Amino acid sequence: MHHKILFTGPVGAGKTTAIAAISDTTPVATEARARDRTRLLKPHTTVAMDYGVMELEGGEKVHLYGTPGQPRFDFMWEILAEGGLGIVLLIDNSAPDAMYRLRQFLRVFAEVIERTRLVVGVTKMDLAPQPTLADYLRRLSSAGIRAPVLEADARSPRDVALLVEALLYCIDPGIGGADP
Amino acid sequence: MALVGVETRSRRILERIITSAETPRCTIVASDEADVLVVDRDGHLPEAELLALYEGARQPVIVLSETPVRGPNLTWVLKPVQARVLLQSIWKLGRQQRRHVQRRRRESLLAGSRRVRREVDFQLGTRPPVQTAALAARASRRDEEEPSCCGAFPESLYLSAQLPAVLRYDPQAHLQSVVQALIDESRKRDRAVVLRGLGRDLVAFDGGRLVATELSDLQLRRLAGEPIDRRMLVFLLLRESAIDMAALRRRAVSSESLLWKSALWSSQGRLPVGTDLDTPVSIAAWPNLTRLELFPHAVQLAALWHRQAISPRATAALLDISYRYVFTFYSTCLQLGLIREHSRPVVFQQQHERQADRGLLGKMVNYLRRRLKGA
Repeated sequence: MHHKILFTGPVGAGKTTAIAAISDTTPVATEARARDRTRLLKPHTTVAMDYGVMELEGGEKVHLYGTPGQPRFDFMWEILAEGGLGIVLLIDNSAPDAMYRLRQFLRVFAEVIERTRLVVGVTKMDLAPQPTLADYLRRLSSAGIRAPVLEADARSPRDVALLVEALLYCIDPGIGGADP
Repeated sequence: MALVGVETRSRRILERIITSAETPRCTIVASDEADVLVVDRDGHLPEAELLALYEGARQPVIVLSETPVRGPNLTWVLKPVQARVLLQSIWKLGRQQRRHVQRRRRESLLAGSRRVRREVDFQLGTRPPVQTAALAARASRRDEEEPSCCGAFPESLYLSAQLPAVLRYDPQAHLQSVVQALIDESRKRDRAVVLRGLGRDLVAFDGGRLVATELSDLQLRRLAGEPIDRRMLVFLLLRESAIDMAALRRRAVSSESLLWKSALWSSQGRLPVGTDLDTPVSIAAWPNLTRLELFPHAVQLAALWHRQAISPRATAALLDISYRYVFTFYSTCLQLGLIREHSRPVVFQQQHERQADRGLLGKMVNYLRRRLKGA
């Protein structure tokens, strides 16, 4: 059985880092030297996808896919989202157009969000406290979406694990799991 | 100084030694006001009471005993007591205390702002009220065994037909409401506000978004665990221009985080008074759990109450978890203003038709918890 979780969001939000934070294997990244405006943010960027894996007890695997951030690769977004359990949308709060980016991704993934579940992780809030989580919630609400919005550091396995756990409980709050 | 467990005749002799010309600063006061306790081990106090005193005393203890007594806060003086030996012990403790006070002053949150310090000292005096000194003492007590963050009440209590009174608490009487008042004051005035009377200062600033304190989590936890007499507390306005803001920011936590923690530790698995177990509730938004103190089932409860309005009683039954976690989550979310009450159960978000395999999701949760523990 093929289970997967999609990490998406604009360039520099931390998708590659987040997958690396919780993957059991060294993530496969399809990175290339950035040539457009992205090079102002970082020297390399994902051009096809990132891939990591969570190896569960009993040998089952959950595949973690990261989409490329630039809109010109948006044809990849829906391909990667197909059949996923849910979406972790990461937004870089230090980007000047963070809210616009959120809207853009909500629009592109509207159908997938309708079918599955979404959790929003807002990164780099330590660098830029505005917009606030409440601003994101208002934006989601105006789009008719009810989803958790949490601050996250993509480098922190704890934060990324918590985002994914939130996603899983949104799918089904009745999941047992072992006693915490 | 205070004399504890000392017989009347011995007391008179000791009082004469302690208040002699060689110790001009010493007076005999009640034990909760004293800087040093002098305890007669062989006096009229039972052994258990003596042990509790040794462990619980906020101030150094001089133990008069025929046999050796050792402990982190204890000084042994052999009986029969020689005046010279007792006085030497008192002088030594006095020196230690003065050094300790000087160090604490240097480390004070308000260090670097003499003008503000004078202003605060002038208004309050340097000695905290007796009751708050006792509170601070309790907060400073060392304790290896910490109770569970969601309380240690026996599970059988939660299963009573009527929720026992012991499982209710009044948030208004606890630390959480004091912290809330401090934050509100800072927000309302858009100024830094200091709260005095908890043993150490709490300073809310940046429009109430941040709070700095020298109180450790362990100390806050102890303060949160018992009702606080608000008459002993004082709020003072500070001029932000006169404070070392950089130092303050280094020690600061978000006000949301401090409110959450104080509600968590005040609740201890109890429900606020007046909360109906059968009224459906939901949360307006997820608490920012990546930046808050996590406790068992918090994520699960957030997901459920964000998806539907359901009563605390039905929640515990549906998720098959202890009420203690439901009550704790209710209390913390209530403190952050997230709780919404409904007249009937409501489902905001339907379960998807294509239900994911619950076993698989459970395994994933277990995997992530291991990652959370390892992180």
